[in-house]
Amino acid sequence: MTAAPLVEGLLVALLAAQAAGDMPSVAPGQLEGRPPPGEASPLQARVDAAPAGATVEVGPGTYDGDLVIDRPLRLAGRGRPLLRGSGKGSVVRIRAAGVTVEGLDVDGRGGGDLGRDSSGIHVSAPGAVVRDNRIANALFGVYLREAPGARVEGNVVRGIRGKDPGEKGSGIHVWNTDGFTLVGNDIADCRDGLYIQSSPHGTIRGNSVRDLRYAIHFMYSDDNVFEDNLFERSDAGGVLMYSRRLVFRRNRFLHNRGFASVGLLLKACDDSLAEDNLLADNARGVFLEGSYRNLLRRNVVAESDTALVVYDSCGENRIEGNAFIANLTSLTLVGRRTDTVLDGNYWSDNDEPDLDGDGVSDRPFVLGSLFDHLRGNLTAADLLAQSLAAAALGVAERAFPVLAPAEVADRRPLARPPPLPAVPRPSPRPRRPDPFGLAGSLAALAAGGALLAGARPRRPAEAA
Amino acid sequence: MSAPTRLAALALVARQEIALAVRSRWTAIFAAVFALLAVGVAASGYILSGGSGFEDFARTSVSLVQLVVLVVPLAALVMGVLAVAPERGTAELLFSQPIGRGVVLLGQLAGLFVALSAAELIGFGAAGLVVFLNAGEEGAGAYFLLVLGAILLTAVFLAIAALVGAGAVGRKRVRALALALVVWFAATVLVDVAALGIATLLRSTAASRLLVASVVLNPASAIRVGSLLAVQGTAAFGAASLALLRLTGGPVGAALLLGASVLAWIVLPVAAAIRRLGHIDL
Amino acid sequence: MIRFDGFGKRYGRQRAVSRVDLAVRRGEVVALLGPNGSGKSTCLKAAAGLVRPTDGSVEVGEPLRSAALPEARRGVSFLPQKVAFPEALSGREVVEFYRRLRGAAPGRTEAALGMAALEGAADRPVGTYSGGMVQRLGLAVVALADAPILLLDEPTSSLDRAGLAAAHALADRGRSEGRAVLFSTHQLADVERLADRVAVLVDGALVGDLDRAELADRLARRGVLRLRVARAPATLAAALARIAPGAALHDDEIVVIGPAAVRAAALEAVRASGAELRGLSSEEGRLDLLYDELVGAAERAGPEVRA
Repeated sequence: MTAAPLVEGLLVALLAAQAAGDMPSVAPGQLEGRPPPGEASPLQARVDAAPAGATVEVGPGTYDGDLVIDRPLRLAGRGRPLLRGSGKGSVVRIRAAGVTVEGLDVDGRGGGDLGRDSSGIHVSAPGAVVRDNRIANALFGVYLREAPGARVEGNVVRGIRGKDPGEKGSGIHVWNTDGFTLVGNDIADCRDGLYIQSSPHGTIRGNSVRDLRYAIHFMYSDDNVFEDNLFERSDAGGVLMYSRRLVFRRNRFLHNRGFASVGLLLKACDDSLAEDNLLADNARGVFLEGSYRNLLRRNVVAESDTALVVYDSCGENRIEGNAFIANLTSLTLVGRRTDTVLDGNYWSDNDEPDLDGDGVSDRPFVLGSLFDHLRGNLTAADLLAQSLAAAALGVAERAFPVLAPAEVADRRPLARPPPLPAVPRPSPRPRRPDPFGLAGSLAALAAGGALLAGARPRRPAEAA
Repeated sequence: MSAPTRLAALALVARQEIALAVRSRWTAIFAAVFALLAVGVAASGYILSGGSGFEDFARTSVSLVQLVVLVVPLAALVMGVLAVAPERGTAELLFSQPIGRGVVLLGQLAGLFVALSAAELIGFGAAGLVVFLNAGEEGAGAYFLLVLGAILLTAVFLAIAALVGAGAVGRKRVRALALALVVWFAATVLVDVAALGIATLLRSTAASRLLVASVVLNPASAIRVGSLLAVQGTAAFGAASLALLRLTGGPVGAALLLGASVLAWIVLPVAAAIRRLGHIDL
Repeated sequence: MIRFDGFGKRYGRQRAVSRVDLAVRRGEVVALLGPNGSGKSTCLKAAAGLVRPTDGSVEVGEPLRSAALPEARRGVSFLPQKVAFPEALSGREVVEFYRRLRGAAPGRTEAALGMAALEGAADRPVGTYSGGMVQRLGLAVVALADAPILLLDEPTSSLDRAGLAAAHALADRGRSEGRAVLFSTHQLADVERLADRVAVLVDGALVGDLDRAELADRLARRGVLRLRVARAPATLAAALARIAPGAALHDDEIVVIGPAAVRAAALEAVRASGAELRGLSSEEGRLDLLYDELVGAAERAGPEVRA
């Protein structure tokens, strides 16, 4: 066994272990229910007194304590009231169907117990709507436990920054919920952003997730659709595991640059469709392991260290009509061979001409250099990535084709980047002059100039 | 006026070496090429970022480090050998003066070090203007680390040039120059390729050890890897960073080991060169 | 001030100098004479600390210390055989650099440049200098240190008139100021003009250590008379053989080697024989002949000397 599969295997095992940790250990009967009197919110009496279907309006102010809602009603904040939990459990607990919670600021006070799902807003009933809330300092932001038909929309979740990922929960956690909608939420500093387990038929749209472990994480959840989301600056943009028939479009997986980071990872994930996504500036763009019959088309994969990592445990995947732009390495194949179809893509490092002008290069584009092959099977070889040695191997390989490993090729590489109008533009990054950098650069120029000028020939008058 | 102290004599030789370097065509070429390439690299990063919006400092820094590792050792080796192995008549006059040979050598190295570092500062300064006019959130600290890496690399390869060229007067000069080019090729390409080649034949643990060892022991690689790790953290080499850190005992261990390697590559060749120069007939 | 004590130098298996014993005292100007490759430069470089002896020692200064020691070389100024300077520096910068290195007074720079007749070119880069100017710049550097010991390796080669004058002035002043001067040369004129003593090196061995008068005598004894004659009578050969046993007569050329009196007698004999004299040249001394003679003497004295 070579080093790369070893390390990758380790990582996958690590993921699985962490995923196991995510699994709810709460038996249904032990759900956080009615808070004891010392921990209850002053709003509890109003909620308890309200008839089913009523709207309970909460005015500005701070309300300390936890709240259980066990009848269908609408709890609506007016003027951003702050619900500050007891720090012992979930702040708002929805235990009846058809509850709406909106317009609240929720402070979890960093307390509670992961094993009891302690959340800002915990839902364990069908048909809930959680809208326009700001949730901070909670182990989980919003937790949907067996909450079919839930709609979580326009919430802002800020986890506990600095807390170890193993000790905090997801921004929005969905478990065993068939049919749910997550729209326009903004999540940061949690363990995972959107965590979906054993929950089919979800729709996830227009969320922004950043600065955490996995921005979106599927486990055993089939037939989900996620579109127009932004997943950035995390250990991984999307981690899709043990799920089938996921469809995702127009998402942005950006700047996932940390150690072992990846834009999009598929493990044991079959029959997915990815189209019109933008994956840019990730350590690795797309990572495929043990996955079958997935189709990636019309995506842009740009500026990754490695655009594609494909294990030979995959089968029948097709990667077609994508644009691979300015990646340092196009493909790392782990193992000896792959049946992945890689035809009809655009590769910006393909310099084969298109003399017949049919828009397709006249010769196939061979993916993966000798060095790529080495690093695919030997993790530590990455230390020499982008060194002259790697370049020298490339030259040697072109000069002596016998050195080239049997490799994968795009048989119909596009000669020009395809128009992909549906792919989203990257978010504009703040660009402004850096005064310290500029001052430092000027100082360097001045210092260098002075050092050299100080040794100019001395005029005779000075020398005399 | 009395005879100068050893330190004053060293400074005098260094000053003269700077003056010579400043007037040398080689320094001018090096400074111009380095500045042009550095600005080119920085500007291409800038243009890419303007065009597509995702080129970032990390990528620019990778390109800059590559450039540094290619050009700086070559300049230091060639100019170093030319300086420490002057024409016979020049060397004979200089070494017959009442100062130690080691003082002369150290003075020459110090002067060249200052001159080359100054040329690099100009290159980095010019490139820095391009980078930091459009820097976004990236810090100047990381850039400073790149400059530091380049300057350390200069010191290392001047030291090696001293070992290769010290006392090589007359016809031996050409041989020393040729040897310097071999050293350059070995340090920038050959050692890495050889390590990779051997690594493919080994079991994974041994292969990782070998690659990490080759990176730590080869000063060009040590500085390349050290710079990139310092700038980008473990993202620099993905899982390979982990292998490196594991085998070197964590970030502190890695920094100490890389630093020790670089320091050894500066001190030991110079010490050996001084020792050899002391025994040599000119 | 300079003492070679059993000095020997091997380069690998090749022996450059063997067992040279030579001392130069203050106020003494000694010429090292010898054919190319005889070890003159090696001796001078050893005294300048550039070459480490493989046998014996080379010491300089007062008190005598190994020439390898930088402190010992404070009293030494050495002019290499083909002195060179970084071409990018001006003459003044060169002199100024060495002045500071020697800790000489600031005024010495101008004086040295003046002595070497380089005032006009002092601010031009050395790269634009002629060979003679470079050599003169070397003399300027040697002069500015005011060292009590001067080591000059062929100081007069490739010198123009001004340079020659400077070199001669340097050596003369050295003597009058009580310095020890050791210089090598191929040119008799230098020896006659400058040297108090002559040490002769052949094949790395010191084969003669003569004062100036001795040298003149020796050379005079080995003078060469060359005559071109026509219609020489057959008796001439026998007559010449009586006067000068080594005389050679080939066709119309007669070569007589010997002291002036012998040569004069030989010339007289030719005239007396009635031969027609068509050409005549006489040299007072031939160094190569002197070398041969000295080598022969050394070998007779004891072969182990040159072993």
